[in-house]
Amino acid sequence: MPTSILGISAFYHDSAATLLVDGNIVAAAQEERFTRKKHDHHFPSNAIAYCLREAGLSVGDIDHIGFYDKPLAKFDRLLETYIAFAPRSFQSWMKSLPLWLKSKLHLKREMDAAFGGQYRGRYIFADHHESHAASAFFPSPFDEAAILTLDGVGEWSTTTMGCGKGNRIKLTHEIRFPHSLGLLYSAFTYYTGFRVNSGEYKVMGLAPYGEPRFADLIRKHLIHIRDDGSFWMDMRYFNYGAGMTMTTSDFHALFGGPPRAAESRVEQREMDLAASVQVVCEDVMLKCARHIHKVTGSKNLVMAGGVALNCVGNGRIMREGPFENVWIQPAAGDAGGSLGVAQLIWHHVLGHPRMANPNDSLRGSLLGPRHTDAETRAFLDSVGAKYHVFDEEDALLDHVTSLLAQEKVVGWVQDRMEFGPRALGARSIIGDARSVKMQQVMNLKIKFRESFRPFAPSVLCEAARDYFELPAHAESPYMLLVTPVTEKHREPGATEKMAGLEGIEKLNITRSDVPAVTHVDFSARVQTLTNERNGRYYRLAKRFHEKHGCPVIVNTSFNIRGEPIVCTPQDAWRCFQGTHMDVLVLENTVLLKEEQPANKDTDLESYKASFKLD
Amino acid sequence: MNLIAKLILLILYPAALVLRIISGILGRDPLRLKQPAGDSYWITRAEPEGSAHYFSEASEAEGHSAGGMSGVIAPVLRAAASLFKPKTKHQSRGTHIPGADREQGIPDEVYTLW
Repeated sequence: MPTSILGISAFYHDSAATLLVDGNIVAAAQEERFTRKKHDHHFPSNAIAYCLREAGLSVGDIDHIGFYDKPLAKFDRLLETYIAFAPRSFQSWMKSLPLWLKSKLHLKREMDAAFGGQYRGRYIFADHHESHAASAFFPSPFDEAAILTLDGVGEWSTTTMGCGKGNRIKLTHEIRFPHSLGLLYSAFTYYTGFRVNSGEYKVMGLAPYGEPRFADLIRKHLIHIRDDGSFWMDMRYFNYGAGMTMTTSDFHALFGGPPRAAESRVEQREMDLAASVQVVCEDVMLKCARHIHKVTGSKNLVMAGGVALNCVGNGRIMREGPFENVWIQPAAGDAGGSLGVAQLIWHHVLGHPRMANPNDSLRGSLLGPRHTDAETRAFLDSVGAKYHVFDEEDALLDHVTSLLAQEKVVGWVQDRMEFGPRALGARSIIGDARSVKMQQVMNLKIKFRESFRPFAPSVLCEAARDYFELPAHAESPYMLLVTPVTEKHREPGATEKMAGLEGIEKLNITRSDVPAVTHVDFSARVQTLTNERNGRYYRLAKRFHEKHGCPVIVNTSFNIRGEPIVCTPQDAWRCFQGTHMDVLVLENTVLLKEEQPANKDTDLESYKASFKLD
Repeated sequence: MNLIAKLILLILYPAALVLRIISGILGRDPLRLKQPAGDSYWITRAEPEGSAHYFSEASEAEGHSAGGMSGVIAPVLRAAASLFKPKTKHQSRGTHIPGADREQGIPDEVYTLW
């Protein structure tokens, strides 16, 4: 009988489930994709149901269930924090602890109830950072590697380092709450007026518009960084220990004012703050990487935890760090913890050996649901949609690449849904990277999001080094590295033209021959494509290259601001109809907006209003 | 039920205050709020033996912080929690969704830390 293991992460943000059968990853998905609530924190009932469906199992068939953190250690940290900050912690004490008394201290019983008593095994619990570390090392292509995990906080740890070899991982050192690089970054996310836990990407995207003029102030007052990458934070400036906000009045006084109000105009000051915290974050990440390299002597590094989604920092580690190879878990946030705990059970608890797969064992992170053509067409017929079916892939690729070359914005749904926060060509909105208007059109008319936000390129792996400064051996299959556009593809004189401009004005200058994916500092968050990992999406990019001479296409997630990435054909249709997207491709089926029943402006507005702004 | 929980917590909070004072007198600083001396802030992590620890909700690697006093108050709160046990598996029949809904008006980032 095969051994099935279910990993669960839940109750904080990005709840998710992963199913392993005989050690192989059969399915993994985030709950938000099913409930359509971004970062859904609830118990991932829908994700679990999907995983079991994918394997043809029921709850009673599961041999082991694991949870991605240790609730009692977290409870200990919470109490210790309340004691340390008393009496200031009173409000937080009264608000948070009822949750613990009623639910979190009864986790086994809660899960028993959720599974209807059908699971008869024992529950297994792993430390939060051990789950992250496992999700980074076990699926990686390495037999041995140094491990670095960085996030907001789990139980006590906020940063850990260690190493993995064969089927074992070992974390040797840590930095503990409240000293947290993730929470430092989140404090600035809050202070610059964005939503914590989703706005960190915006801060990273905003940073190139600014100057890091506050970096020294941050280093002097907020965070003391040692040469070995370890750090200590002065908690007089932070309120997250026991308050209901991220920062204190001392923090506001230090940076000259209160936090920016959400949705108000982003000024040069916010851009400079973003640039400053980004520089400090990169500094810590690089120092940590160098220190771990020195301690472990490994040539390989694996990373996970929310901070490992800082692609700019990752890019610097790749280019400037001491490691020959770097692999980052694409579901680096809490969702990936479900994978980590499941793999810990397989290797550490059950003792099974591990054979590293040179291409990694995540299969392009395409671990979610897929919908058949028959299901798709049945749905499209039910809503009266007009569509064209392409039974031959060649014809489909020819048609779609022609539409892309006409600067059409295309919703692209193929294969199994991605696991993790990035759309990698299975649930993506794509466009022509050569178009000078594409960034603005996609931001304002499709995604309804801030105009400063950059878009990422998908590039054929074989052409990647021509366009982007990637090290000779490096790939970026999961869009987790930011790297500069090569000099030969930059627009001559663009730097000089931008020199006199401030902030978002820089967007008006064409910066390269792929302007839609070139940020104002000439950087790009690259996804490299291979036929093995990306299948039809790779072949689409290849056909576009053959026909139009450009191996790069714009790839952004298939959603609007505040919406989880689409999962089903129904979600994709709603998003297609709720935006100004021109084309929708659902597997072999192509829909053109001009042929669909006309939408009223009120439909667009009500679609936008159905998602809380992030 | 929420009112009873809040009443219990209200009664217990002074204990946290007392523990803070005792902690201060004893010079304990489990959160390292005072800047530690030395060339590194890395803390050596305990390495649990075997795999038995995976069956526990407590952590051997990340257990009590050095000098912490939560051990005094945690058992009382855990005993109080027994008053609020959720329905058993037989009562729920698989329809139970664990994780109490969050109180409105509290930012996500704060919940993330709780």
